Amino acid sequence: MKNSYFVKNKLQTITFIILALIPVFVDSYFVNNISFFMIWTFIALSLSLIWGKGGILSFGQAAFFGLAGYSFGIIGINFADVYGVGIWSVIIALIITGLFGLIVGYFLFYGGIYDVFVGIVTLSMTLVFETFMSQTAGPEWTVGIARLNGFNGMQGMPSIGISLFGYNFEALDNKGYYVILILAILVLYFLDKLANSKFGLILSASKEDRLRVQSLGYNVKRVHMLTFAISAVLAGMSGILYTNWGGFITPESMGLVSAALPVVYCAASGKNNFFAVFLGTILLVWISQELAINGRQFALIFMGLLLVVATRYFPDGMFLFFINFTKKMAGKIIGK
Amino acid sequence: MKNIIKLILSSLFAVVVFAGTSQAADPIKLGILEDETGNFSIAVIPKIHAYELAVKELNEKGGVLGRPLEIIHYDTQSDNTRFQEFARRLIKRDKVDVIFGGFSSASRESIRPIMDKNKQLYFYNNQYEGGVCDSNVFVTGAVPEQQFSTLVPWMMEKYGKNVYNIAADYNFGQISAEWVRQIVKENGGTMVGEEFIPLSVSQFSQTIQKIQKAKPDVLMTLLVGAKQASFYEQQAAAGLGIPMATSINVGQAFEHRRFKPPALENMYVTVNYIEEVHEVIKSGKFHDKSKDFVKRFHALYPNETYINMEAANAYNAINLYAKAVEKAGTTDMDKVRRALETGISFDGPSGIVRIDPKSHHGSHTIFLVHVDKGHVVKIPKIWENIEPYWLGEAGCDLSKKDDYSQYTPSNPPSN
Amino acid sequence: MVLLFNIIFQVTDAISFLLLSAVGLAVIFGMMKIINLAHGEFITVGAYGTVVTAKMGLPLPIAMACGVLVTIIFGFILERLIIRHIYGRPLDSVVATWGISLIVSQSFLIIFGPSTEGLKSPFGSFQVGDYSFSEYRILIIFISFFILVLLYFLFMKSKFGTLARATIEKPITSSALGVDVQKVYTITFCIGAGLAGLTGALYIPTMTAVPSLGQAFIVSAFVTVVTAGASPFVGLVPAAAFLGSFQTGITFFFHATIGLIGLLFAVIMIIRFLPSGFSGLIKRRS
Repeated sequence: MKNSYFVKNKLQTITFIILALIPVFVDSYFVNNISFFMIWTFIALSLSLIWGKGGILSFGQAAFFGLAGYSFGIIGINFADVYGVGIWSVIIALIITGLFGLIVGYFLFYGGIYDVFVGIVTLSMTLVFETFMSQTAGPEWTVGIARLNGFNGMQGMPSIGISLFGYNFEALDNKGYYVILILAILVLYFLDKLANSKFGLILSASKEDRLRVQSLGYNVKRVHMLTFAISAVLAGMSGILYTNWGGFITPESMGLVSAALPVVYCAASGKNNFFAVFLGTILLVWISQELAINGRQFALIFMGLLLVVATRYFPDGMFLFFINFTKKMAGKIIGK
Repeated sequence: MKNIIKLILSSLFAVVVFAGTSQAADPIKLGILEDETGNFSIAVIPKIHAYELAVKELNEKGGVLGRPLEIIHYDTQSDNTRFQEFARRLIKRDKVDVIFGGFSSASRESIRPIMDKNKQLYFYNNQYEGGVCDSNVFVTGAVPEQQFSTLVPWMMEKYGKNVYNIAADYNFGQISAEWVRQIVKENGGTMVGEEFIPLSVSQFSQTIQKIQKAKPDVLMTLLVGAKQASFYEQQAAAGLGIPMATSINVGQAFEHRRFKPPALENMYVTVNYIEEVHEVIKSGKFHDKSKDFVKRFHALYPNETYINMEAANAYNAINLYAKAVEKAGTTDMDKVRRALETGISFDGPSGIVRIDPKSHHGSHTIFLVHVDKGHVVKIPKIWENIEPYWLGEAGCDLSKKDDYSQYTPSNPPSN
Repeated sequence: MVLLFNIIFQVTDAISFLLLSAVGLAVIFGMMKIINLAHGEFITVGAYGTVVTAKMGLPLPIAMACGVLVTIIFGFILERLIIRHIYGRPLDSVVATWGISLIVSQSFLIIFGPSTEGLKSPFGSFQVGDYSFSEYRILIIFISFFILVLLYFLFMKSKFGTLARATIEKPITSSALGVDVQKVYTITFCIGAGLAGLTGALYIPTMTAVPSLGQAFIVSAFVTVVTAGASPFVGLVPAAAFLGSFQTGITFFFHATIGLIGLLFAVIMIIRFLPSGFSGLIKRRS
């Protein structure tokens, strides 16, 4: 089963192999940096699922990012001495986020909220989180022994990892890179399977014509709610990995910019194609960092130009365009 | 054939690059993480220029330990995530000997874990809410006990005992408000009101009405950011007319130059430096030092918007570091830290700044600045050598015991 | 009596802020369905246009008119270069307008620097009992309602308005009937831009002149427009009235943070229970 995915998607497989080999050739800073880029792919993929496949634009991914990150931190700080906390804090945080996604999804879709209204409701939700968390600076804002610490952010949580037979595995630096890469491969595999399943087909179909699919007897609301929950978990993965990477999480992760960025990455890459979004996000975050280093004052201008040009000339997404182009070229070279 | 030529050229290039770097005297690398762009850049750009000025002057005198100083600066774009990304870059890739930087407390807190993990020497050169007791961190910015213990009693004595406080609703505002409450109480005053305002608010009609209802003698305004600064224009337009006191405005983002008078009429600020010091104080040591500093600054940056107190802190920080390295005889970060803990001091633009070994914070000269209705600045009072006493008294002693935390008045070290 | 005046002032002040934040976006997003994340930047352009021309010596009302004019021109250029290629793709407008917002705000930072000397509020203050108020703010309140009435008549009652609404809703049919669809789009977009510029021009004497000043309006704008519903000029005033009163009330009894959270919460509830927004509510009743 797994073999068929990697055989069918040669470009993906080649990319994964290249990514897996990178740490052999570059120094630890570079590896850590690419880990950082990959962290953002999960939240972009979460949007690719709900928006690209489902046709529902959500500005709420940043809220799930923050919720998962803070949950991971709170659990980790409170149970720092309990065995395996580095693993099950992740699992519990994701469960919490998924449940919350389910509740919000229920509120949205069973309440008949669609189109641009989903965007506004989820944006409001995200900003409520941000505003609320920003003022939790006081000592009374503590969950167990973990201080939320408001705007200044929460720190001091243990890393993702586990102690096995005296060997301390921590998902940081090179090991962290492989953990993230493996997670990414698993997620992409899972999303591909999901998209091609009956569930996925109902989702894509209802993007085209929701009422018709509903009238055919499919429970579209349930599908949307579940998809929303899954995308919440994906966004949460980014949140946890980010918190793990920096040892730090702040309400800024749930602000207006943080809410808009994944939308931008997803749209510019080619929201319908999971792999394009994966690669596109890595490249966009990288480009934006390089611009900040080398472009300085003009960094944001170049970034803006890039986005404007992308929508103007590559309406289906820049990286999707390049991927298809690469495939065509490769096909020409190999086939002919 | 083409590939062979490419290989030869790239090898030659590599050789030239490596040869080039090994010829020069090995520079001391100073990493700088400051917001050149973004919401905080107004107050931060003078800091960046101050670092550059200090480094230039030190290099003209032969550098430190005979080695030139080299700045590696990344624009953090007023974004915490950039701070994290570039802190790692400075530590892992550029392998700097020391890092200077940070404006908002959140940016400092976002990189402090990274500094601690890598035992990286780090100078935070901005005023903030106080409480950082961290072995790797040295602070040249002013802290509440320095700014409020001077300001609040003075205001209460001059204008009256009823105090109203509006503060930004986050750590800095809330902790500063704690300090204000405490000091008001200690001096026999009354807090007639307190309001915390989210950072995104820019309209203050309701706030102004609430203040008027409470009829305070003194209005503390601990407002942060450009949006909240709109308060001043709006209160002037509404004719509020109450004397205001702050620790934040004027000294950092020079609102008295940016807002049309009389928005800041009757505003009092405690700062550890502003560029008008020598214009207001006509003679004496503070006059001479400030005038000389401003002259040298403008020689390098003739169009500088404003030389604010954080610029002075940045300048002091570089020089304190240089002195510590000279004293330690090496750039080894642990040894430099120990050298800094021997009571290193530097006589800078605003007088003597001495590092307290227990808390790693700097003592300061505090100037009380008064802004009149034409936005002309006066300095009614100067306090010399105000120590950052709180952390040491509360139980933080980094010269004896390592620590990596931030404390607050309600959560002190002795807990 | 004093208390009543006080309350009325606070509430109408909050409402007019929401109205003016939303008015430009109501045209561009409410009518044309373009999610304009550069709305804040239009406001900034209008504000800076006003400041620059006022500094050159022009009297304030003329300077404000110049600010609006500059924004209209800016909107025109954007429409020709970028916006016209993304009509009918509301979700792609997110990326394009985000890009525009980055370019504009950063360019302002480079050209004007992080801060520019602002303007003073015109007129003075007056006393009612123990409280004093800014005369200019009262003026803004009146202007905001006046603009809304004007827009209502322009878009709901005039020939142009009917034409614009019909064309945007059914471009192909309109084209078949001989309407120059592109021209209608352009004019409507420029009106939206100009209105946003007007907001900036009106508020700049009460705010600091920084390149990011438009950010202060964006969230208010979006939530007000969405709660206004499908017919923005019918629903805008009730939406702003409700949200403004709600937020003022909560802030009055608690404090500003709860007020802000309350506002966002109210938006969520309205969207949930009033799917067509306030305009739907009005239409149903009439």
